[in-house]
Amino acid sequence: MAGPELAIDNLHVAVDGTPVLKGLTLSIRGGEVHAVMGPNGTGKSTLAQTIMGHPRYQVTGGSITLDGQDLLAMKTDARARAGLFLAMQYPNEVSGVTTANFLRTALNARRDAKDPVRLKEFRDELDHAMDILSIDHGFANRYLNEGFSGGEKKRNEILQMLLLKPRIAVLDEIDSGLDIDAVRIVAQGVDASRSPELGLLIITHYQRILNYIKPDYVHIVYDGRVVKSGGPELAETLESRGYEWIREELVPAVEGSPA
Amino acid sequence: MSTPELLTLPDEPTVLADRRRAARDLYDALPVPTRQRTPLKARRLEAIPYREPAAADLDEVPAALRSAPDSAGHVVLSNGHVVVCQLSEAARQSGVRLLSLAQAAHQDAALVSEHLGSLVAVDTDRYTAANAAFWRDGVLLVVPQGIAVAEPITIVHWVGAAAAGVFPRTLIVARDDASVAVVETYLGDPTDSHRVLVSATTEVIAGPGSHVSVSALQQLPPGAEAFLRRRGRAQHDARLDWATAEFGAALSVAGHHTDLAESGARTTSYTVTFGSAAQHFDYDAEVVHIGPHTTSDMRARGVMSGRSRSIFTGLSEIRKGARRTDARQKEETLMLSPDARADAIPSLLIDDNDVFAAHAASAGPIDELAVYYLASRGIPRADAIDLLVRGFLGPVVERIALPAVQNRIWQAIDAKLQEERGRGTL
Repeated sequence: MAGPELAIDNLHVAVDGTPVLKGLTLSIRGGEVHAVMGPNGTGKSTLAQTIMGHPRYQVTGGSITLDGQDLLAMKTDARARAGLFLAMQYPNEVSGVTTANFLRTALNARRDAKDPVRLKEFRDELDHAMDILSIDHGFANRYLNEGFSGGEKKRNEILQMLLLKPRIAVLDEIDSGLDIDAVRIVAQGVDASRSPELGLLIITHYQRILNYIKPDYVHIVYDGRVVKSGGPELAETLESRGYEWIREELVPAVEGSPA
Repeated sequence: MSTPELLTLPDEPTVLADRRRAARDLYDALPVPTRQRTPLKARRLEAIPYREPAAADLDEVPAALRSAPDSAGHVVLSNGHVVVCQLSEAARQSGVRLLSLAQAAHQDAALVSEHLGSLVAVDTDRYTAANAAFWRDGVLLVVPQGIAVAEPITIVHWVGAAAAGVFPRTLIVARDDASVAVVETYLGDPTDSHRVLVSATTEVIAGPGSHVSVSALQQLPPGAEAFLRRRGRAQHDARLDWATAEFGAALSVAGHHTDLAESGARTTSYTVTFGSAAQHFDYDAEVVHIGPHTTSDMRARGVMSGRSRSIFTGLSEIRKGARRTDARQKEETLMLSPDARADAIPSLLIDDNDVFAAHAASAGPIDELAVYYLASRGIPRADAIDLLVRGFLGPVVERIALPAVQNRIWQAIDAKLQEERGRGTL
């Protein structure tokens, strides 16, 4: 089948009545890596959560489609089964539910009830993915994210991605709070999943992770819109010139006074 | 209102017959009890004829319950009558005694009259008095000094369609350094909704150095109005472990009470509750530290759905002189419905200084962010809530030492969750 395509068109989103996204347009195809960068508070995480269907975010205009299917008409779990994945910035701790049990339930949700994933097959695949991410196998039997360090939580998100094999994955600040070794391990995991069947959207504040996962496109979001798109060089410019540059040069109309 | 006939068992020793008569007088004298959060009068319990069916009926008990190959001993009571009483040869040879209480009453009148009613006071309320006056049969278990019974003793209380009043009694006597696990289940046909009054009493004497574990699973039929009283006394260095689960009945006023009577005695108490529809559970878990260096750990977790209602009253009492004791309790409730209600009332009564005591209680709805997180991985809402419910109850279930009891509780949780799905409430 043709590679996946996520199309976001003129998206407007409000949180508790306050507009956050104000006409954002972006399109991601299988095999591509897109990076969305921007200062804090410009709507990056809102974009990620809206794609996944978080109940707190109200879409007030525009559309999101996956392979032409209207994602906004689907519930979160149906979006996930359609091939969407969001690696969360702050994954929930789920007490009493082991990582292994949770993942098996998630895999079975994608299969016919009469044909659940075989335990041995599942265990092997889980062990393999854990090895890629240097996760101790014992984590499979720990409660999901409970008592995990920041780095362990982020690795666990990528572990889930490796097992669930999404067609479009959104990684929300997957590098935040990680030391350089952890960033490298997480990036390795993401790299291991790259294929023409997977489109990646990496949301990040820093350029650092892009040294490990080379983006094809970089988009700068400011005040709820994409204000500039370009190739990987844009991330480097941003790194050397900082976000002040955007404020001063790209959106003078939005930001009246210089910092 | 139906007043049952005073029952006397054939060959009942005078002392027991006298007690029965006294209990009957108390039953007549005591009013319907007032419980702060359980309006008993409104339930019109007096309209239920308090009559045990006259004859034993084994046929009514599902075949699968009649034997228990993995048990050291197995007793089945059908509507209050003992219909099966088996004890393994190994247990018999080591001197363990497991017999019908009616039979024990005349075979071993001294022992029965010494211990029966020694812990659960007849005048606790009208329904304990009813049990003491109208009991027809029950179970006596005696484990001799130093004997460890490797497999559990299982007791099934079957409440069938013919029953109107069921009043079984269980008496467990563990001598010095004995060890035994007893599993009592209260069962009935889940499609049988006729009203039936069940008042059961279990007394446990845990001798010095003994280890007794008592599990009680309440899965009574939906028309049952139950009063389940359990009380144990742990002597020097004895250990008494309770695992109780409340799943069935329309009303269950239940609880367990432990006296840590002498130094070094310990108790653990794990309770799991799952209420649905209009079920009403009123549970008291109490521990009294009398001896020094005694410890207690009480944990309860409950899930409440529909318009169900639960009250869990935990009491840890530390008497003067019970120094160096350690008493902990924690009660948590997960609410699946805005129409359900749960009250957890933990309390500490402390009359000595040199002690450690802690209590905590909480109740809250399902964590919608966790549901969203699970949904973001493709898990539908009902399955997500199912996982969260199991995850919530798991930590208490897994503290129960007996795998067989854990399994039964998980099966009961499965059945409850299945029921909730059928109702579309997940």
